[in-house]
Amino acid sequence: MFDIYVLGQQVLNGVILGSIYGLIAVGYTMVYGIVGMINFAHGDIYMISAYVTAVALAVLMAFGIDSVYLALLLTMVMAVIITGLYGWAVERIAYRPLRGSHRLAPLISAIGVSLVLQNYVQIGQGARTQGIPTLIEGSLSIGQGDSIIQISYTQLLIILVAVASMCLLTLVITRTSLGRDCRATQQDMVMASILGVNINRTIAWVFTIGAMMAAIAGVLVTLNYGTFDFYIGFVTGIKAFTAAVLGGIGSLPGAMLGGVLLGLSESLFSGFINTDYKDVFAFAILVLMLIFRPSGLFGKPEVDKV
Amino acid sequence: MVQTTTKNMLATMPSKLLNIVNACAYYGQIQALHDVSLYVSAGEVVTLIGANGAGKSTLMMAIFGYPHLRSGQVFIGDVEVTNLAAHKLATMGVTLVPEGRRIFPQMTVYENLLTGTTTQLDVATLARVYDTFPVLASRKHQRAGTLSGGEQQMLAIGRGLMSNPRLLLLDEPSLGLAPLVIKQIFAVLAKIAAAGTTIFLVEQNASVALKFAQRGYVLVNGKIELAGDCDTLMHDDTVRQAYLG
Repeated sequence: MFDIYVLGQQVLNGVILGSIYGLIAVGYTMVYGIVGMINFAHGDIYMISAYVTAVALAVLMAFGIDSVYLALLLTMVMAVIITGLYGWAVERIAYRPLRGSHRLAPLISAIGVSLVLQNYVQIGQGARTQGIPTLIEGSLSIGQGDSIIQISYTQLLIILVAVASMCLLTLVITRTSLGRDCRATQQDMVMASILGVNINRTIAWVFTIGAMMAAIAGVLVTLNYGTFDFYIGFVTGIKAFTAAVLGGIGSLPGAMLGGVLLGLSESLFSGFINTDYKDVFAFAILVLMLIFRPSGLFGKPEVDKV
Repeated sequence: MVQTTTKNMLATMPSKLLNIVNACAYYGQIQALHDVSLYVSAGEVVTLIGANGAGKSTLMMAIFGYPHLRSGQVFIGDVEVTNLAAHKLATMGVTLVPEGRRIFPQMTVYENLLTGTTTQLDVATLARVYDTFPVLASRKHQRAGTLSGGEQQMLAIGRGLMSNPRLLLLDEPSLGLAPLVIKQIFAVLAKIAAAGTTIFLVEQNASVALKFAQRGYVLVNGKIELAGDCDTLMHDDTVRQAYLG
């Protein structure tokens, strides 16, 4: 039964899946960290990015850009900008008008935005599953026959881009004044504003950055699977949310590692136990985590002196 | 009750850096500030004393719009800033060292100091702050939450100085600190005042505050009950009984 190649392949698949979850989880965790609420429209922001990818590729092809890598780069840029604007709009429409009201109010309005986005895409683009052609052919492999570990160039690209984006985000958060404003706002919003941080602008940036990371995930997934519909944001969104909880919601490295861990466990579960129940398994992790360790694996206990 | 005539002084003072006029603030239905009027002229050191719960911190925070004033006005110089977005005050040279310090515990000491800047980091200012509080320099890469209470207070003041403020608002800097540390901190504050920074100090510790400031106000249940020179206030019977023990 046990096969080292199957294990290797599943670990590889898990890391790829996990880096996607991580990219999306970052948005949940950053928004939670700063406004203390889950952005339930975040999964649909990711879905928007898949559609932007397809449209952007079609437009670029129409303009006669035949270099695949140039097209991909431009698509990525367009997806990040346009999807980022969607994230910004979610904050303006669903969160900012309700700031200071009851905690549940923005939660409900975010679910509202989620439904609006799904239906708007369904009406505008049709309910059927859509697709893009495979852009990057070929793969690397170790071994041969049944004993083989394979990674396509697209998957390789996913890992590279995901790691690069995570590094870039970490740099922005830890090294720039915008990142410092984000962290100050997260730790003490009132004090940050007194010290001159424009809270509204900072929160808008957090939503936008989260959406941009989800946009990168959307582009990568679309390249890899080639198909998408208006509903993909729901399950993937909740999986990424699980990843954020797993890593400790509010913690940036936690979201990244939580994503990889969830991807790995899901992939190993489907490789060795059962494929049909992989979603059940992922959500069982969420439930168990919330019961036994709600602060997450990497959520730090508060040790600060008061 | 002695009412020192502040109105006469008011006429002769050239420029009010902070001017609060008839401020009223509420927490829900409860009125926390009743028509509070006070001012701080440029170059002055003024204190506001009062018992716990008198509304001192409410007044301090209301300058920044937390909570909003329901009526009344706040001026910085000639500019009205009533209920303005708080971050705009920082660019006008107003800095608050809040009650309970409110440093950012997860950031390093250095990063906390950076949050106090309103423009690009000025290396000379940073050097001056490190010079004023050498302990901050030696712990600059330490997480601020792990500092002792006194060190955190120094960090909060240092952070406030990073913007080279015209007006430094201090809310209970002596709170929860050992007498020796209080002495240290007030020695530094005296230097800052001597260097020309205008200071408005809110204190429960009346004896320290009245010795430190030139002019004072006494806040009781959200109302200004007394105002005058600190020397006068220090010898006032009501103040002596209620706040100096």
